Amino acid sequence: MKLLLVLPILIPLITAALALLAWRRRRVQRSLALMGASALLIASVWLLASVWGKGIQATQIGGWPAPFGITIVADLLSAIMVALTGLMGFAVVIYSLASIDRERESFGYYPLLCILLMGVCGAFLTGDLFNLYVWFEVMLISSFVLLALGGERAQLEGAIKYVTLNLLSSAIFLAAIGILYGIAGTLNMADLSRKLGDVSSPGLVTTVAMMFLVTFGVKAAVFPLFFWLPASYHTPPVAVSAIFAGLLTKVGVYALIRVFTLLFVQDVSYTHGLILVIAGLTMVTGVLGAVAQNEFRRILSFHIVSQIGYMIMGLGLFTRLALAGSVFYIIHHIVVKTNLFLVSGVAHNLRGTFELKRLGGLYAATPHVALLFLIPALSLAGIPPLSGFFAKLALVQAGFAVEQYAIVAVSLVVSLFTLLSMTKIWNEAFWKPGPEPASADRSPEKIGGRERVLLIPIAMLALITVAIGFAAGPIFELATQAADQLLNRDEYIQTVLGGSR
Amino acid sequence: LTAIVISFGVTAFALVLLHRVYQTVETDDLDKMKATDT
Repeated sequence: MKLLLVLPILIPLITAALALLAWRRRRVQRSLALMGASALLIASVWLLASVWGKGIQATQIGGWPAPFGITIVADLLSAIMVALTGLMGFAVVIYSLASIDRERESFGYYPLLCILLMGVCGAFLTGDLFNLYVWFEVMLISSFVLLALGGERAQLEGAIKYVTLNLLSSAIFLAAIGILYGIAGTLNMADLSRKLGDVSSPGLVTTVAMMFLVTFGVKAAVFPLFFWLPASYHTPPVAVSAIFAGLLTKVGVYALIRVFTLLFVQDVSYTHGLILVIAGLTMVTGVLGAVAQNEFRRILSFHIVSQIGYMIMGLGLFTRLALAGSVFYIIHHIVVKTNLFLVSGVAHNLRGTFELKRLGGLYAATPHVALLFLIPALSLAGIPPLSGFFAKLALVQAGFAVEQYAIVAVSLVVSLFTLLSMTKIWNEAFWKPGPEPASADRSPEKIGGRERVLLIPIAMLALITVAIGFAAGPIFELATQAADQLLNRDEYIQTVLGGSR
Repeated sequence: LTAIVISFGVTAFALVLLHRVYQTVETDDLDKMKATDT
């Protein structure tokens, strides 16, 4: 068994176990979390380098040969996602060290975070559909608890909506897996990829594809299944919001891409056409929702929905350039979104509120924080030379190449509205003069020592956003190669079934 | 079998969550839980 492939799952698992053993000792948990996150980051980058150099890697759990055993397989898309998980985990752990309150820490915050990271990495690396379900559940359960940890009223209300919709999607997932097993006799993704073309009832295959679209759509927050997201993402502590925003929906997007490039490519005009329509609707509803909000994190939550629409757009267009654009967009968005949520946390620390009406004057008080907000915000809106511009450019070019002008027009208009809502946050929170000290919830303070630590991950992620923008060429090359691997399924199938041990 | 175990665990969690929500919010009418909306 190749160890490197399993490391991204093993490392957070061991970290979580050790952190649980140190239940009473918060200091030990904190250092464990930091070490574990660093180890995960290193392992994931190493994995990415390995896949980039040597092609798709696969290994079988327990030595059981495919297609009977569970395959762990890393193609470029998986490796990129795992590397991003490592990076976000690292950033959020640093932020958590300085921000999570004592009570949550004593109730297992760090083990939960590690298990969440483990579930996410497992979902990215598995080559078996049922194993995907298992990792989804691991990720979901730890997210349920993280969301509700602390027991504030808003959290519990958000948790109810989040839990219910996600449980529903898990039930549909199971049903779809059952039907697929009945049709094809296997759940190994590479094997399914070979067999689904020859099935006697192609209509049934498309039906199952739609079921998967619904279940992963709930997870990825597409229209019309995204309503749990703005109801819940702004309720937990900022570090939790940030990791959710950066990773969880992207696991849904990853699953959609994997399933609709590897498995369900029999009826592309229907399935991917539908995906394109959904993408457009998602973009529009997301940004319209964002423009109407007045609370920092709720605006960001609606933006997540809107940006997911862009990623799905690439999938719907289903060409090499489009998929490369999607991958690039995912890379850009994970970094930017996590960063924005972390910035909102700093704004909260300075002013004691997330409500835009009561924020203000942060540019005058702390211009460096304003800059750190501006970089990811402009990147999200797609201003060159930041990363968002290249991602949107790729998708627009891909749309023009297949003459899907409607979706291109929609995506450009949505971009404008995104810029509008980002400007709103900028005006309200940073530019306008702050509330009078007497009426402010908290007077403008300089950032204290502990809170300086909060700025480290934000600055790091902002630098990465700028770097992605300036190094767009090589990263786009990476994304294009990932798209190639997605479109040419043979390499994947060959690696998993042909010669892995 | 795995699915049975997972479903059991998740259902147990959901029940506890529902109970806790009822304790804190003092209603089980979802339409009244609007504290997170603006």
